[in-house]
This record gives sequence, structure tokens and C-alpha cells, in this order.
Amino acid sequence: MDSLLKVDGLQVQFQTKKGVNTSVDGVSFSIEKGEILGIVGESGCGKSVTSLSILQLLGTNAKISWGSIQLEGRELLGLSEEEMCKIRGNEIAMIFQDPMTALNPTLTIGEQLIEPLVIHQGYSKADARREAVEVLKKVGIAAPEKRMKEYPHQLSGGMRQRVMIAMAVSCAPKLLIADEPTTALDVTIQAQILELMLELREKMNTAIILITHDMGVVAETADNILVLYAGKVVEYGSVKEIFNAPKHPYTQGLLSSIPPLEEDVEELNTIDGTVPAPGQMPSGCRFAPRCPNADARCSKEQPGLYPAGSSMVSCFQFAEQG
Amino acid sequence: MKWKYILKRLLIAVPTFLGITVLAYFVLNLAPGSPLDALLADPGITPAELERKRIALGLDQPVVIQYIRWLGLLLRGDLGFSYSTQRPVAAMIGERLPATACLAAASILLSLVVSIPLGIYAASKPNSKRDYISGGISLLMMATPNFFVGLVFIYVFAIVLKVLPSGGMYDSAGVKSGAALARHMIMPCLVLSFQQIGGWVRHMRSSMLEVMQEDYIRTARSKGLKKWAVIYRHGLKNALIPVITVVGMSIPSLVGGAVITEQVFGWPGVGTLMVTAINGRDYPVIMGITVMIAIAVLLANILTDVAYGLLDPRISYK
Repeated sequence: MDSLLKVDGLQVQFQTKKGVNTSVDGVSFSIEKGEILGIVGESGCGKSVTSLSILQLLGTNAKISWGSIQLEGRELLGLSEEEMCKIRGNEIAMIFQDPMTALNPTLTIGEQLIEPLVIHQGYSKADARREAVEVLKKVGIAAPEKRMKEYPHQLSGGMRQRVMIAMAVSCAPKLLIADEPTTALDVTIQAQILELMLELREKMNTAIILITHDMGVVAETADNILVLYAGKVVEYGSVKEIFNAPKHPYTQGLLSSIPPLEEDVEELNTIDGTVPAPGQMPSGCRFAPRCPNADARCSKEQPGLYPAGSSMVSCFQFAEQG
Repeated sequence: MKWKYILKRLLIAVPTFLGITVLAYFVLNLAPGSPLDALLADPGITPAELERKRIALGLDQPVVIQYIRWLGLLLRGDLGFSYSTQRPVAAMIGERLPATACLAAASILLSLVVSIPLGIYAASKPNSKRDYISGGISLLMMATPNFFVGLVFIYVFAIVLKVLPSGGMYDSAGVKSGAALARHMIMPCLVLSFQQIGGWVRHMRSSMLEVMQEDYIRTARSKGLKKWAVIYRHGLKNALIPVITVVGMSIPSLVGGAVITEQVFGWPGVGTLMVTAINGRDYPVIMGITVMIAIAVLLANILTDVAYGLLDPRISYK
């Protein structure tokens, strides 16, 4: 059986004044029905670009130059804009990071909520309104009828993100892409929003791609994790495997930089060095300049993805074991 | 509430209005020349007669007294009498205002109808052929002076093609038909809108481009809205907010009479009246027109603010 979504060898290039930058290079993963996949990595590693590529919402200066994205066996790359419009918000929906700016300030919540219902489900405006109220109830918004008539600025940050989620799940999509859905919210609200997303997964069997730089969030919610570094996959495996036995030096570094709760530490662990700038990628392994275990081969050749335990790891340490 | 807000704004406008009249009155008196200069053209006039006239017009009094007298009349709704024609200023402006207002309204309407869709069209594909062409044309329109456009239009439409009248408001005095008015208005309206359209297209384009970068536009696209639905439903209202300011600012200058355009087309509007009054140092008429323009500026400002509130729900009237 086909996976729900299968991304294979995705490469995205940005046209800049200085030339072409490859921001996502050879990213592959797949996600099953009802699965939660966490995509983690630091800013600029290609998390958001990967997610926007799936819906083909990249800006005009970006281009998917290679790869394949299949939804239930159907290739999405190469579909016309019109066909993509039928998939967006219907089969694959998206939640964005900042609910302050992601909602249109000049339209009411109701006007914005009924749009996907009218476009994709063919509801009349009145029916869509009724359905939208139901969805708002589902995402835990009190007095939904009243909220429908309000504008985004009249709502709190947490409520706005609930509205965003309501908008995304209103057509019961098979896949929900959440791009840092909790980053702009304060901690107590974060927990509520994550709880809500888990609940919706239970009820609607929606698969979720959760993009975050917060390892804690992934640990609590995801089934599998994809770790990206400088546009490449460094490690891909189950949450259990990755948290218990991280294999790639970068993943190890990320996890060891989380301060432990049980003990007081003087200083946080950090990974030495910085992410290479786009356009100045090392020719070998992209993590080699910062890697404690790097040898001569690492800075010359690019490692492939090698199986290690139940994970896939992009490091020469595991090249021979396969 | 909205009406309370408008009332409050009107009350605040009163001192501003008085300030404008003070400034205008005193600056006017500083200008060289005097209303009596016109009389000097008559070689037979005696100094005694001139002096009598000066006293009759109240010009012998200090400027402050003159201003207070003028203001006193204004508060009773009286703009005084023209020095040159001896007719009430209010009546003189009154018979000119409809022509100017008519032209101004038509020009604003035409400019809006043309420049908003054109700006959106240019912004829908930035840096494309359509964008460059519309950018080039609007720049050219902005840079061409009104009198030149007017003369070219008269040459083409009135002289070569003979399809439109070259000037005036009606075919012959006395007969006032709507059709004739419309025919006479086409050219001045086009000329008056020419530069305006150029500028507004560019404003609309840049405003739209900025809005299209916003997160909520990406959200709208992620919902599956088609390109033009995104532009019109989610972009337009937000993009209009800054354009409103530009449109609002153009109202006073149009109401004040588009002097050059009115001159070129012999349009019997306020602009022509003002030029005549300034040349003859006809203080009451100049002040009368100043009052009218000041009121237009203040009302246009209030109107702009109210329009903001209609477009942007985040603005509340308090």
C-alpha cells in the first residue's frame, strides 16, 4: 500500500542576487495515515521550505528543482495551479507559526473560516457558517457564534491559533502541516494547542507533520522524527530510537544541549561553530566542520543515508554496517 | 460611535479653520499691489477720488481691524462683496462651484476606476512585461504637465478628429442639456485625471505588492483559494488603506479648481475665478475661495479617516 505522503529526493533552489542557493537538498521521508512526524532542526535548515514545497506555496524566487512528492501515490509536482488549489486546504492543510499575522485583519473570523468549506465542500454560505460554528466548538472556542462575527485583533493569541487550526481541519484533511504552531504562544497555551492537535488526530485520524525546533514538543507528540541540518537529512527514525540512542553527532549535540531537569548545570552544552551560510556549503558532509568525530573523508565526500538500528543516519560511521 | 466621532472631528476643525483664515488674510495683505491699482489705469482719476475709494473699501484701517470686520461678516454667513464687480462673493463662488465640483467628482471617479484595477494588474505579476509596461506608462503620465496634455487632446479630438468641443461647458449659452455637458466634460476630465492616474497606479501597485507578502495571503493560498480570489478577497481591502490617503489628499486641490485645466478648456469653474481675483487683488473673492478650499481640506481629512475605519476594523472611533 502507498504511504499517505511520500517525499523523495526533494531539492529546492532559491534564486538570489549572488546566484542559486540550494536550501533543501535530497530530503526524503514518508508519512502514514494518522502518523505524527516531527521535523526538527535549527533556523534556516530547510524545515519550513520543505513544508511549503509540499503545498507548492514557495515564493516566486524559489523553485523545486528535483524530487517527487506523492499524495496517496499521486504525484503532486507538475500538477497545475488549479489542481493544487483543490488539494490545498482540502486534502492537505497548513497551520502557520504566527497567528497574529496569519489571519487577515480586515475580514471576520467567520468570513475566513467559511472559505475552505465553500470552496471544497460546496456548502452554501449559510451551511458553511453553521459548519464553521461546529468546527470552532471542536477546537474549544467558547461562544463560537459571537466569535464568528469578530475580527482577529479582538482575539487572544491562543484563540487565534485555535481559529487557524479550525480553519485547517474544517475540511477534514488527510494531512495537516503545522509549521511551528506553538512557537509564538506562551507555554501554557502551547500545551493546550498541542493537546488539541493530538485530540484531532485521534478523532479524525489526520496525519500531522509537526515542524519545530523544540525537541520537547517533538518528544511529547511525534511518532517519528526527521532531523534536518543545512538542508539535508541527518537522521530519520522513531522518537524512541532517536531520543534513547541518537546516532548522528548533530542529533547527539542537539539532545545534549537540552538542560536536564533533575540536576543543576553550570553551563549548557552547545555545538561548537555555526551553520554554514547558504552558498558556502562544505563539499563533504555539511556537519563536518563542527563535528567532533570528523576525519579526512568527511570533509571530502558527502555521506549517504545509512541504516543504523531502526533509524537512517547520514554519517560515515554507519556506512559499513549496512 | 461613528457620528459622535465625526462631530468631534468637526469641532476640532473649527480652530484649524480660523488659523487658516488668519494666515491667509495677513499673508494676502503682505503681497505687493493693492485693489486700488486697477483704478490707477484710469488716467483721469484724482488722488482725492482714490482716497475716497480707499476709505470706502475700509483699506485705511489697520489689517487687524479689517480682518475682524471680515470675520464678523463671515460668522453671519456673509463673504462680502467683490471689489471689482461689486457682486456678493458667495454668489460668485456659488455659480462657479457646481462646474468645478462636477469636474472634480468625475475626475476622481475616473481615476479610481482606472488606476485601482491597473495597479492590481501590474502587481499581480511583479517584474513581468505587464508590470514594466504599466510602470513606464504611469511614469510618463505623471511626468507630463496638464497644459501639454490639454493642448494635445484639443489638437487631436477637437481639431483633427472634430469629435469633441474644444472648450466651454455647454454648446450655446442658455441651453443646458446633460448630453452637452457630458461631451464638454470628457476632455477636461481626462486631462485632470491624467497625472492622477499615473500616480495612483503606482501607489496601488506598491501597496498591493506589499500586502501580497503578508502571512495572511499565504494562509489564504494554503486554504485553496485561487490566485484572483486571494487578490480580491484578501489583498484588495488591505491594499486600499494607504491608497485612501493619496485619494483623500487630491480632493482639496481638485475642489480648489484645477486652475490650468480650467484655463485651457475655458471651463467656468472656481480656478478661473481665483486667477482673475488674484490678478485684481480682489481680497474678498480670494478670501472667499480660500475659505472654500479650507473647508474642502478639512472635510476631506475627516472623510479619509472615516474611510480608514470602514476598511480597517482595527481602527476604532474614540
